[in-house]
Amino acid sequence: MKYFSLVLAGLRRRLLRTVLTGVSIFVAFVLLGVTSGVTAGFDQALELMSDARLRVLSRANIIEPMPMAHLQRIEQVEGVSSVSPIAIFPAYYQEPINNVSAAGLDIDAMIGVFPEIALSADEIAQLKSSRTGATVGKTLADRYGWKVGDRVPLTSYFMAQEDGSNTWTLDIMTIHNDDPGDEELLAGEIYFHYDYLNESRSQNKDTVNMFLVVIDDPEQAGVVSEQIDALFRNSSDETQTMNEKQFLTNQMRSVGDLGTFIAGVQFAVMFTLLFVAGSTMTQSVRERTNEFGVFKALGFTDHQVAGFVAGESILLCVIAAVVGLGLAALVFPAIFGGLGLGGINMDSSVWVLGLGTAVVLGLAVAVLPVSALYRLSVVDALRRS
Amino acid sequence: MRQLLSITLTNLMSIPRRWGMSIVVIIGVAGVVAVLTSVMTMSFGLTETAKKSAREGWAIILRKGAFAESVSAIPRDSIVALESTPGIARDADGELAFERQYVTTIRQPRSDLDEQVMGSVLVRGLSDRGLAELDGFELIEGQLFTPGKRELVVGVLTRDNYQGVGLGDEVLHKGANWQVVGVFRANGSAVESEMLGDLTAVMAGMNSTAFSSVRVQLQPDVTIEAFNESLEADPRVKVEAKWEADYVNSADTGQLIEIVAYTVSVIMAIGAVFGALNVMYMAVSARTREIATLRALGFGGMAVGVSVLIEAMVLAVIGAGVGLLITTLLFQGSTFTTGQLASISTVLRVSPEVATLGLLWGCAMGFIGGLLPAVRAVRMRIVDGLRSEL
Repeated sequence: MKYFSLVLAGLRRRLLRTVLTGVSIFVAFVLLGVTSGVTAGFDQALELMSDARLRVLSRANIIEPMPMAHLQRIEQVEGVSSVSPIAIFPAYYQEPINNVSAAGLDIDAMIGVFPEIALSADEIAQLKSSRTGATVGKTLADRYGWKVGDRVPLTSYFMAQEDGSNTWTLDIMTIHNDDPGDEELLAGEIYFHYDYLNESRSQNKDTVNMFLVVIDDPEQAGVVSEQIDALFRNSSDETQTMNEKQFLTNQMRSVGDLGTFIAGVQFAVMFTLLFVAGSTMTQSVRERTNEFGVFKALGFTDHQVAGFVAGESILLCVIAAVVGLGLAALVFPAIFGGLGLGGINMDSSVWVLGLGTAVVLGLAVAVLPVSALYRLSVVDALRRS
Repeated sequence: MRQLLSITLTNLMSIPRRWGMSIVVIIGVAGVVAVLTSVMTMSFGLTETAKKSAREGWAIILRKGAFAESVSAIPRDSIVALESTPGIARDADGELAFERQYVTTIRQPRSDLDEQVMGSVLVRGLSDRGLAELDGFELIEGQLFTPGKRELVVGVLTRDNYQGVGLGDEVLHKGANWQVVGVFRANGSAVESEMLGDLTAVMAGMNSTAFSSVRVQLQPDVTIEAFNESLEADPRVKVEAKWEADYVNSADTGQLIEIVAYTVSVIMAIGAVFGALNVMYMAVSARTREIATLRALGFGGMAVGVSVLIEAMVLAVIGAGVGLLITTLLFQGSTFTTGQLASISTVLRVSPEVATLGLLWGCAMGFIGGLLPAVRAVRMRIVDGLRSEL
């Protein structure tokens, strides 16, 4: 540590160059942080998904309505413990840009399959006391400043009521998932009574878009899925059943190969920027061969001189990486919120990966010039200009 | 001018001797341009495909609030009202330019990915008239569907990207078998990612009593606003019209990709420009004495400065070229498929627009990276420069 000032002096030697190099590395780590954060965030979301919960959707399309009558038949399947019908209600609040993730459902059945919805018995009773009652997640409530007791108009993107109106008015009775420990994805949604939706809408009566099924034994997910689909095969309302993990993975993959895309971009970014920064740093060490000769002549050992060089490059890389990852962590929740998946923070694994990369980069940059330094005799070094 | 020319030439000729550092600029710019152009190729491809699907002067009528055909429904009984809306053009035979369409989707396993992924293919029911209006429609295998029969023709991109939808295959949907009887191309438009069938047969097969959309050609002097006012005034219908071009744009998935492309590229470019600045500063400082000598010999400061700038830009343009080459080698001719409700595919091609964009970015990065070092070279005091050791 007593030579720390020498390392700093090395970095200050050409301050402009150090700053420029640092910015290149910083930028690389901002991008690494954000992109790895996104992949880690999706993995995190995937982790929360259950193996024991199946989604029964129409085989035609993920939003195609299916008859509510499927419910009884699915309940009969062996291994099924509970089923909750869900009618998705894509809607907006005031302006089409303010999209709201809403669903009409049977509250009791929903709590049965989704214990992650944090509501007390009192709250459930309250919610059930009102035909137009709704429970709104904490994140969503905060976004539009909704409170218990508010009447909130939600306009459907494509559903209409008997009188032709597209707007449903909901009474907010409770707020769910408002503790920090509660599941965060559900805190971004609003749920209301299926009966209210179904009785008032003008088309697609007695249909839902999804059945959530809880099974006794997650090992049997494949068998149970197959049995459910077999019930409706060759009917006009065929189903496709997958567990939640499969479903999400399938959705991601069919929109685009996000994983490969991100890995490709990461590789290009890290390779390009670190090559640029690394070359500059290497060059900067080479220019100072002469100085290192002086160090050696003064009695510093090879190891010590190597330590100065490596210390300098590692210090620069780590500082730039910490600042870069820090910024990424700050902006990350905003980015994820923009993707419609609020409440996910940058995973701590990204820090480990990033800092590891920084140290390796610092070492890699030092290796060539350092090995040259070991071979270099003092006389030769001093002779160089 | 002659001074500028000779210094620039000398500089450029000496690049091979200073290869080590020059290559840093080239790789830095190449990386940025490769990322930018790859992603832009995907986004441009999608936009291009979507654009080809829009016909000039045609409007699409959907149920009010429906953002896509697949979630729209227009009941049979509103057709008469729609047909009588003023402003719809007539063709040469005096027929109303009015097409009803129906779309649904089927989920099929994708064949272009290594793991089992289900994707959604749009199935479109068309009238004879609608088929005739399809730009560049051309059967390349098999035959056309027979009206009234459960037969489909498959777009060439759907056939390539999905399993079980080839010529002769049977597609099971809603309890009925649909025979694939032909394969078609349609001028590279989005229809090539769909399957087509006879309107009446498809609607009957899906038990649907409502159409998804109505396409109309408007009279040349009728604006979309005026047409919408006429629709609004009719209490029998709850629909709205958009130009096909605008509908296609609003449904465009390319936009999000474009935002991602620009964000990543801008951030990455900042990093690479700082790298380029470093390199050019080094180039200037390594030649301090050389530059001072030139100035002492009577070369103008401007000539020296501009030559530094040109060197940076030449390196950056070479880098941009390398980046474009990487993109071309990686993506040219491959297919990109995306889409939430129904998939849309596009064959990737590094278009002149994308290439120009890449080269412009290269020039800009070279300019920014070379400017400050060039200023330093101009400002350098000759005496100090001559005295400097390095």
